[in-house]
Amino acid sequence: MRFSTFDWTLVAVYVLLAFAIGMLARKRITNIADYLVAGRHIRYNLGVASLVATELGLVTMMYFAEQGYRFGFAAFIIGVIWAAAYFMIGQTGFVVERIRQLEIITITEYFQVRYSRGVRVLAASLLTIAGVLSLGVFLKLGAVFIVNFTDIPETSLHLTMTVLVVIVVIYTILGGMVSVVLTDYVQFVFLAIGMLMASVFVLHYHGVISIFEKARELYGAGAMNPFTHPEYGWTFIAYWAVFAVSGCVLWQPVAQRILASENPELNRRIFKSTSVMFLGRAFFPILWGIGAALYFGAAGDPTAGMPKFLAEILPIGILGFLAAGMFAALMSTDDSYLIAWSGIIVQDLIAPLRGKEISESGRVMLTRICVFMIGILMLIFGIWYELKDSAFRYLLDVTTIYYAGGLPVLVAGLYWKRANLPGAYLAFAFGAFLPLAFVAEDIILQARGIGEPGFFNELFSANMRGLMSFVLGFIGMGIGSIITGNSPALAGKQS
Amino acid sequence: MDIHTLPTTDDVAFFRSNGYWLSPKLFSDAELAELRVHHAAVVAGEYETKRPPLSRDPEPGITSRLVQVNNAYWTDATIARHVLSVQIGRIATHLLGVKGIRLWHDQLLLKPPQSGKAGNIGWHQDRGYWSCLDRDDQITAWIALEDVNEENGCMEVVPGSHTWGLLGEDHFYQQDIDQQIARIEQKTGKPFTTKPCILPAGCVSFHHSLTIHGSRPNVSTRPRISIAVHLIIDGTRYRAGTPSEDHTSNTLRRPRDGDLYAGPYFPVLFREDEPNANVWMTAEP
Repeated sequence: MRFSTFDWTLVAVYVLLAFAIGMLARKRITNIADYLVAGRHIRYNLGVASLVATELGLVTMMYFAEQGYRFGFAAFIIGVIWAAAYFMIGQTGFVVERIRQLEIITITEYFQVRYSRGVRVLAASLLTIAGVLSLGVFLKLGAVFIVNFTDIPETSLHLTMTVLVVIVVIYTILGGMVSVVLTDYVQFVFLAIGMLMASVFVLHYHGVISIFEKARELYGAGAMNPFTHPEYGWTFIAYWAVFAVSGCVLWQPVAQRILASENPELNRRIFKSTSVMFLGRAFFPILWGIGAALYFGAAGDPTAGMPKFLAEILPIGILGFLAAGMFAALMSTDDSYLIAWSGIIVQDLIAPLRGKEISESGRVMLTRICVFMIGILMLIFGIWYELKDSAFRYLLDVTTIYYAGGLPVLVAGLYWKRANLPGAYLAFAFGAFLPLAFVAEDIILQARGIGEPGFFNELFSANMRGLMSFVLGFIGMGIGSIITGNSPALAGKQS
Repeated sequence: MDIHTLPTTDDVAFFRSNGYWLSPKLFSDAELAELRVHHAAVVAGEYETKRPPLSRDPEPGITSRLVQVNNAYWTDATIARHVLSVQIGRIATHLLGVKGIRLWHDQLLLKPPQSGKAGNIGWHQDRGYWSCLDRDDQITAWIALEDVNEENGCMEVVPGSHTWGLLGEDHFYQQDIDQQIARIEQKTGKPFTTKPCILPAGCVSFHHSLTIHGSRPNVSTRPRISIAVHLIIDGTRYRAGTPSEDHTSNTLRRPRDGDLYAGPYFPVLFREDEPNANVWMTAEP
């Protein structure tokens, strides 16, 4: 292992600097939450940087690299569709423009205003389940990267996960969100440079032209074509396209930034520019994954392959530079998501169900308790749970639990006058059924020590399961609304 | 709904000097009939949308005393359509001479028949309950769903009292309303002369948030039913540290000092320079 004391020093300096900036600025800035949620202006540069930095987590790079390792260049379709979804929304203003006109702050707030508090609570419950289930994997992937990229022994994976949880939870409880927003710019620059440099080294190692030839040998000629690839194909493309649109309009960290802007034109520009960035977000790690597969061969570990490979080929200094960026990305994403899920639990579950006012200090305290509890949960789950398929597939399934109902409820609410409360409930119930049943069955089977695939695993392919979930969500909305015919009080202009 | 009527220059001048204005009939008989049915359903606790109101007093089923349902428009599409009407907003902006109007909250009201003193509404200024708003000049549109007159306890206003400033006389539930008069006269040094707002069904009275108003018992045999639409000027902000910071509308987004009242809980009814600003309603032309 080539990770040197100099590299560790770079990581330490960067992390301490980020902490220091955050803590110092925290004393001076009291209304960062206002900035994020209360409709103030977001400027173009910060809008793009903040959006990309938040979604540019270490886990993202790990699962993209894993896809690259396993399926070669065909995996690029993931980035292409994701970028296309962002561009399409930027071009058309689909959903986001209507939501902005309605002066909505959060998507769950829209569910309450348009349907009912119950729909908001249901949506928040599914979002929390999806979020907490995914965080366990976030932690594990973060630790896998660190132990394989640095000189930490691989046997210390669980210890690394524990240390990571402790750092992230302390950072978050101390008010890390402020640091994250402030350091988004720095992180964005660090990571962008680091990713470019790493990609240059990967291409230099394998050769710009010969990497394609080597990949064709390793994966076979068909592996270049996502439309015919057995892992992807049209079902995946349809599923992933709907999923990507859901990600743009339903994912709170993204939606929050859109809704904070008062200028629809700016929103569109941010989305269109971000689409290019998101293309890079997928392309670079997939390239590293392919490089790793060519280095270690098909029998290597697709998850640990990328960090191991980069650790082998990157020079001292660059290793530390990239590690610092990656660590910052991990902190940023884990911190943002811990805050997001804790906030949802407090704002959208505890507060509405309690029915009584919770003081500001009470909310802060409850949020911190939730951060702590989720931290414990993600550690236990992350250590215990073994992924059966790729991390990408797992994250797709758990997120579909929320998206498959959330998309029809949001879109129909905005564009279909007859969308109503029973429709919303049915959409969430129908949409969540398949992925929830699949994930729950998988966890139960593992708890009982059964290694065989369960009923829901074999019922449909992973792609069909995801696509069907969205179809069922829309069917639920349609059936519920048409059969009951209850008119909503607030439909919004439908023209 | 009559979407063409607007207060004339004289009407606006009357409002500005007296603090209230009574509109001609804005709602058709068919609309009134429909509204009465939906009003009765909400009073009975039958919420068409399955979404409960923001708050209510008393509980559904009790109509022996004054019934107040806040944000009834959440519960019922018909009520929402009229509470959020562009026309109500347009008239309010004309009377106040502002650019835009938002909903603060609505109040579905029922004063029971033969109410006795329990039907009295003490003399008060709405502003007294809304000190969390950073502006004095807010307005209420009060929609009469039945003919209202002195027999069924119509609203009475003190013309010109909106120029007296905030008096701290906020006694909505005060039943001995005559006792208050002497105290207010002493405070202001001005004669306390009231004017009954006698309205045929379908007319709307508009009053300034500083205008002193109240009402007397309903001695008729029918309930007096109405909807009060409390409106704020677009651009109104939250002022912290006031006695009304616990106002129910503040529980919706827990504002901080200086925050704009905006968003779906305070929807825009009308903006002069933005014809499509009223985004929630589909029925308006």
